[in-house]
Amino acid sequence: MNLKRLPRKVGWLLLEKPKLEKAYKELKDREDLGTPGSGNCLGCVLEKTLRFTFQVLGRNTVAVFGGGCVAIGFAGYDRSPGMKITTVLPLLTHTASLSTGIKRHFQRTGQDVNVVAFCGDGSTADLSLASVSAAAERGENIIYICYDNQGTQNTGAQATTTTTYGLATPTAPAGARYHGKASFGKDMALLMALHPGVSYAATGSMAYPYDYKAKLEKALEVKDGMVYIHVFSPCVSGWDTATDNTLTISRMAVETNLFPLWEAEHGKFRLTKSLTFHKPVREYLKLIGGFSHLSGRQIDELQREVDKRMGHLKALAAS
Amino acid sequence: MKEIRIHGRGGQGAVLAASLLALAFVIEGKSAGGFPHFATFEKRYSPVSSFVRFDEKEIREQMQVYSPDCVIVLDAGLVKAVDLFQGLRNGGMVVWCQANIPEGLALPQSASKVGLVDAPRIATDVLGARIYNTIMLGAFARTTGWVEPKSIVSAVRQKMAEDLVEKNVKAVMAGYEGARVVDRQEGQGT
Amino acid sequence: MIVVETRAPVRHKVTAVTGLEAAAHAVRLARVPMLSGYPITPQTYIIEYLTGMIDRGELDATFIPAESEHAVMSFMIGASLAGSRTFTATTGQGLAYMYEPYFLASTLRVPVVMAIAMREMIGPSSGFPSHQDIITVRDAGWVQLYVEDNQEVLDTTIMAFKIAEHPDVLLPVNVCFDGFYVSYSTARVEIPEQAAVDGFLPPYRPTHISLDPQLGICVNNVAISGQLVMEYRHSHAQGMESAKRVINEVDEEFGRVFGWRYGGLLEKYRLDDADLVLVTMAGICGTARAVVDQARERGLKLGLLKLRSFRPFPAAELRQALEGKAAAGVIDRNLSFGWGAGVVHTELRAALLGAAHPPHVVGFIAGLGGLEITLDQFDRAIDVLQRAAAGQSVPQVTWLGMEGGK
Repeated sequence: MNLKRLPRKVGWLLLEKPKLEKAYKELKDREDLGTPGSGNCLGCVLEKTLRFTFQVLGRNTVAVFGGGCVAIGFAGYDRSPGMKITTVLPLLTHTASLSTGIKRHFQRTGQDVNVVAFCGDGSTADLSLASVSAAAERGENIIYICYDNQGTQNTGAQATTTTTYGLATPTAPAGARYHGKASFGKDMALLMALHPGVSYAATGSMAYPYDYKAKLEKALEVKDGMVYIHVFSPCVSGWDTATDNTLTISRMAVETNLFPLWEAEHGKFRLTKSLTFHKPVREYLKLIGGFSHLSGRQIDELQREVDKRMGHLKALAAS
Repeated sequence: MKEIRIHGRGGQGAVLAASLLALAFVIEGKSAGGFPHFATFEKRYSPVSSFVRFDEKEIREQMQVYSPDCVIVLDAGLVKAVDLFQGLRNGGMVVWCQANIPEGLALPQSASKVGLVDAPRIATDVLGARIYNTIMLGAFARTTGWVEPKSIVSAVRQKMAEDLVEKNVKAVMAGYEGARVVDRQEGQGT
Repeated sequence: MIVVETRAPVRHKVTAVTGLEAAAHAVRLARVPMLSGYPITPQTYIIEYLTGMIDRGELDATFIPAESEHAVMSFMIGASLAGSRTFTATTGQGLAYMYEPYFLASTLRVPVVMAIAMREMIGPSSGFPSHQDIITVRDAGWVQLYVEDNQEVLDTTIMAFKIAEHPDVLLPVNVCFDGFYVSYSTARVEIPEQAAVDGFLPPYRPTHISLDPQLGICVNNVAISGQLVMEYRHSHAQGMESAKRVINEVDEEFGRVFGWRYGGLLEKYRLDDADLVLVTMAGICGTARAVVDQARERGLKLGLLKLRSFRPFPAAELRQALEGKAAAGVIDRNLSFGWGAGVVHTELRAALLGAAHPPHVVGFIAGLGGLEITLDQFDRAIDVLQRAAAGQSVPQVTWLGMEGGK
């Protein structure tokens, strides 16, 4: 019996559910380091991602939250902190360099404290790209996690340079002259993995928490360079989708190769979720309102881009 | 107050020479300043200049040098590119990096003395490199008498990298001892 | 420099170094463990001075190589929040690029010390001396001290750590000096011995901030409440007010230990019996002293008021110093666009409101883009000042050095 050919639901029950349950069971006694409540939108996967991430990383951590959704969600308001660990809310433009300053002090004074930057794509891929890239080149020993919701969602879902081709945003809406995002979006995780100072780079998704958990655990072991993890983070309001749909979308992004799961240890690439058969990208697009305007030609173009990138990744993993 | 201008090319140590000379004056208890030409975007082998001024009393003015009392030339070839003696005061001095004044060099009327030193030969013998700055500082001390060579030697010991010190101390003394001073009171070149 | 009698004078090593090298020696003597910098003329050499000292084992510090000034200030904020004493330097466009974290440093109350080798702002593409860069960020919450020469760079940088880290102040401090004239120029400097500086400047032990992960505090969290921001700003303003007292106290203590001081917020040079006063900052004061001495020889009662602390602005002290003088001429190496005047000029006018016998104030714009402020320009300024004192009609602002062109 070929398990891969089983109906979707059955396949999930047999192959995925046990691993997922095991991952959560292992975290049962780990403290949730977020404070109760969240300032994020209903259904946003970011809260889940954030609580999960810090449960794995543990208390010996200073968190540096880039502005945006994570700041609104967990930096805390006025005199109430949003986390049980010490948190610094930096500028959108310097999360990596501020984290560097903190970590360098800990290193000089012999304190083994994790410095974890947790920051969105607008900040990471756009506003502070120079800062992130330079920290990576120097191999600063920080754990940098970018949650990619493909837009400056906190300001009303304008596009960033990671936004997927065709998504309708205020920057390029769906209409007579605009047809959604006109460019394909950069592969930030791959870009980061190619920095020699990045000892460990990976992509992660809350649809595969066991995979993400294993990657965070590897991140904690790294003492000789930077860690960069790029986490997929669907946006309910910005992408126009149902509030109970974000994990399904996350799963579909992996299954269509739009957001493949991989890791690179010291430049050695490995696909951590290898698919024998991948679904066409239109299956993913169907789940998201922001893509409903796409023409057949646009879908074909996006499919070609996804295939091309997957080819690159497979070549890297095979080398 | 006396003012000095040093002409060289990027990489020949004109700026370091100004700094060394300023320190030498300070070592002798004088007030002194040394600085690069502000508008110099120093590129390897492009013409550069630097300045030094010193006085027995405290120097408070912050100004560049326009009318030097002495011009030190580290590279004879500069004559084609730069107005080397611009603004030289009457009774001023020139310290030239060759054994003789080259034919056709138009020394200004204002130059009263020229110090000549065979910098290329000394550099080959002492330094093993075509860098004349410390040699020329020795020649400057001999020509002007404004500073003791041992003060320049002390400055070299303070400021230069350890592996360069002994060679350059020799270069200063060789420049001092090897310099020939030509009096031009009559306004005639020799 | 005001010479002070000391009981046990500190031994100094007499040498000649550039202004930036003097700053680096201050950093070494202050035992600053966390450093960074990005090259920009005329500040570039600070980097090799600092890494050279680390390389030779003279300074035990981490120098973080940076990709931009923006990153430099961000390193400094991070390291300072975590507990390090920190130092860097910049100028001009670098300062402008740094503006966003520059503001954050002061509002988070991290006592970073940053030297400014002041230069003109672009365009046209000038990188030459002017105070326009630092004057433009005057309201970003930093203490800004303006110094005259290489010795004052060294001494004030040491004092700056003590001022910045004072529990009543807790603000970042700029030590501002003229690019090229001071930053790249070699001049006589006396370097004090380490033990004396150790006695004067204790190690930095922050009590107002900690990044201990167990604390669970949030630094710089989202301020929904205007009330919270009002409290932050009020506390910041109080820190600035306290800085006036602390700058004077630290200056006096410096004098007692090292044998000379600088007057704290401001210095009065031949001012007591003066009728006419030149008011200016930084390197211009050097030339102005010579001008005052020459004028005195001619029998003209001219004095100099050197403004050392521009932020905090010592309004009361200026008012008192200028009380009853006939005329004051402010030489600004900067321009406040829209006022058509220099910033010190406009602020001095505000400071003099309420004075019983204020002087007639005239302003001069001079030395922008590195144009030299010559003795001829000073003569012209004194002429305007004399006419103002005699009650003649003179322009409020005179541009020096471009009379021929305009």
